[in-house]
Amino acid sequence: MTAAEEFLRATLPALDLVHNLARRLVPDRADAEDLVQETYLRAWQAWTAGRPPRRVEPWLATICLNLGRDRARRAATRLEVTADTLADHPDGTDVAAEAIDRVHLAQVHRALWALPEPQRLAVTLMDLGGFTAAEAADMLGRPRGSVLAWAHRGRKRLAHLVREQEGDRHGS
Amino acid sequence: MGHDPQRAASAYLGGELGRRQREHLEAHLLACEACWGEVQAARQGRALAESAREVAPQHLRDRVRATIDATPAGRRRWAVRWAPLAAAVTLAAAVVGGLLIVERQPAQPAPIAAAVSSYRAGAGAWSGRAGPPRVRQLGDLRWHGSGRGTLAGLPVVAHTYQDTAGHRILLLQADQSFPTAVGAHHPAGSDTWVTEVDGVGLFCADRPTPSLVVGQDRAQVLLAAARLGLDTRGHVGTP
Repeated sequence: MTAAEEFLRATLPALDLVHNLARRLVPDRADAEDLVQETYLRAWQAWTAGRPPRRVEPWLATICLNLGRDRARRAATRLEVTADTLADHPDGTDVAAEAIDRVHLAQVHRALWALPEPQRLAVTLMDLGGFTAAEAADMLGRPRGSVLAWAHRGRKRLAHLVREQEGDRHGS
Repeated sequence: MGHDPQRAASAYLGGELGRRQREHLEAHLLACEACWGEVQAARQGRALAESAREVAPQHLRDRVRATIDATPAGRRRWAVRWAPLAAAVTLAAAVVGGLLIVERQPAQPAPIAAAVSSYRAGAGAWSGRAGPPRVRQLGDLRWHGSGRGTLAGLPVVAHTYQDTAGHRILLLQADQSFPTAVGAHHPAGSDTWVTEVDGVGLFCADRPTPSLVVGQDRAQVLLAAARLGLDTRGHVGTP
């Protein structure tokens, strides 16, 4: 097995995780995919330099997090996430359930992007990434208590925002 | 610790409590509306966040594989930086040809080699939407389509032009300068260059927007560049 095959075998199972994290670090889908690609490249560089990680998931997530935050700082923009950027299935084969799922996903995605960054990252790492508060704190370089508080406030705010969107959709 | 519903709920849902503390809090939740409300609201939020989990698309998986395959271990930093484009183009070529061929042109900077490969493939890896170009007609060549490509974080817009005879021009625009092709003719004092790489013509200008014009030969790209309003002085008559 070549080094590249070994690397991909170890890291590709974490692609969904990195992709989900990237989607909450940059609002545009194409940019998020670029970020995933860059994450894997950096990881590959480190891997070939003889620095394979003890655990792949937190390692990749940390690389993605750092790259994503660098990008956000450079861009210094907070783009509005539109339904258009969330369009996932351009082939027009929607069935009702899928359409509802997409509306739901779009609502949650918008709500996540409406959270302050620390809350969005804490919620993403813990609830989407499945990391513990201690692991998330390590990645974010902040105390565990802060991360727990951000995650808590973020979850509550998320629920509130989605309820609001639901109300707007059905109420008016 | 005093009564702090937020702190209690966050520690509870974060799995931070030991068995005894957890049981104590669960008993407390039955009687305390404030703590119960905190836990319920956060649970809803957590369930919503979890429901937004997405599966990475297959094309992204392919792209990552192609990127790693196109980046040999121990490659120099600049080459690694541009590897995503090379990989994207390799992937596009593979889709068009039905065969995955890792194409490497070590003599040229990776973006140049990738631009050449993309032009040859006839279909770029341009996935995002982009507005039309300022100039929509280059002689007989009409604007055909636009998209956004991947340049390792550098946003690139691609515009394609073609005529009924199948002649094509690919106009690539970036936010920063393209690297200079090896062997390019670069007039003194000019920020433009022209060359041919493996039978594909390339013209590059830094102003007004960093642009790389790719076509079938040097003459075609110079003509297209002039029609695009790019500065081709110093290149006319270049052998």
